[in-house]
Amino acid sequence: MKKQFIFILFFLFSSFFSFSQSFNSVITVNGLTCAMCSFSTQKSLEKLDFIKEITADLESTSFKLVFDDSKFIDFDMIQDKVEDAGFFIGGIKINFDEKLNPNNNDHKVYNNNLFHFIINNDINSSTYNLIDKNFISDMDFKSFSQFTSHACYLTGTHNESCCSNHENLKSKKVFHLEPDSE
Amino acid sequence: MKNLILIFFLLISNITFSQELYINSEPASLIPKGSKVVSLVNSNIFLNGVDGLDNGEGTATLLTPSLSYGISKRLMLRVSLQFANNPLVDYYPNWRFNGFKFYSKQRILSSDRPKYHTRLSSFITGSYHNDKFMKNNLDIDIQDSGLQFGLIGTQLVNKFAISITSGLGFYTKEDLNVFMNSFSLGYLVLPRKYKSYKQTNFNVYLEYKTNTILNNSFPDRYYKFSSTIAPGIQFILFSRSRLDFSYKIRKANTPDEFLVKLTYIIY
Repeated sequence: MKKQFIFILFFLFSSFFSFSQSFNSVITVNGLTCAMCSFSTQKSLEKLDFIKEITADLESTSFKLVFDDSKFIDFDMIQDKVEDAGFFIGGIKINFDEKLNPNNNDHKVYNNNLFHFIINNDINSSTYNLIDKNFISDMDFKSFSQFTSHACYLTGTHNESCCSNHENLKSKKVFHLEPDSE
Repeated sequence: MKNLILIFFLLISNITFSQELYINSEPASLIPKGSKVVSLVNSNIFLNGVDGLDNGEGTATLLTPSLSYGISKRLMLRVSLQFANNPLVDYYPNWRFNGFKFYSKQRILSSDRPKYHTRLSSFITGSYHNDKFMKNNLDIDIQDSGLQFGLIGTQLVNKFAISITSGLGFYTKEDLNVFMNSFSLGYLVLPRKYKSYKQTNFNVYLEYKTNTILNNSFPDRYYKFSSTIAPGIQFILFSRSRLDFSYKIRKANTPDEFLVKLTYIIY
């Protein structure tokens, strides 16, 4: 009995730790053509309180974002801020501390974010692409939609029947990821 | 000649960024939402040989402070004031408040790819100026009064930015209408590779602006044509301030102009 209890405790803790690993993000911004434009984008992003640190790569017009792990990371707000500066998101990559091995349609909580994994290949990666509707082309969205019947991919919220057991989270939003093949 | 063309194409093919922060015209891009841009233009209009000057020599100096504000990602506004020292008026020097200008720009279309964008915006200018400095020229931006609206299209590929502006102006004091067109070219010379926000950017510009001036009434619709060609250089410092120099060459009988512009963005 005691052994079992320790085993359960260990199992609980190990799963707890594996889900609290942190992630950072690299966003690529389209339309940036000068240091002044990049600086404007950076200034706009700095207004978000869940971003702890921004490092710009001016040559590739991308920004590495380090997040505050205690907060919900709203990628829609990141998009809003980039567009406020007059530019567009080309893509968002999310880097986890270690390789994940999710199955198709797994929903997992990392820090305060719920992610839904859409897997159509056997790539084992620590880097994932955000594939929510507003971040990719209509054609890509349709093609990813084939791999999931979950309503949350369409609505972006987790109060759907597919992922309704996350009421304790700070936000109703769920973001969708696919493994990065690069 | 062939070598020159080859060198030219080698130059532009090697390059990854470009510029559209024109000195004498506006790009179709807007300033970021919530940001304020302050600028100060000092412009000298060389009036030598113009009637009404004491000894045939004189330079009008215009000082134009402006404040722009990005209301949203689709709308920006600007207010400018003009202070002028005009040798055509008695008791020179005679610095005084000479007029003001409102400008608004609305984004219509924006299509971006990496290091490439196409943009279309509309604009409205309204201005009032007391004194004129160039008797035989019309320019709502620096010396006339009226209303102007039109469209701006900007295309940016690699280090080149091309912009075309077309507008219709209604000049209240002159009872004339103007069909205005401008063509602007911008090219980023330095840096060759972006490393930090502290690098100074160096851009060169060539702008060409035409005014087709029309009478308000039939039968003599066409009145006059005037054009300005304006080469310019620009330094962008610490990614948030600009120092521009431009020389406006106007057709015979219309004075040339040299301007220096300082710009600073407040986020």
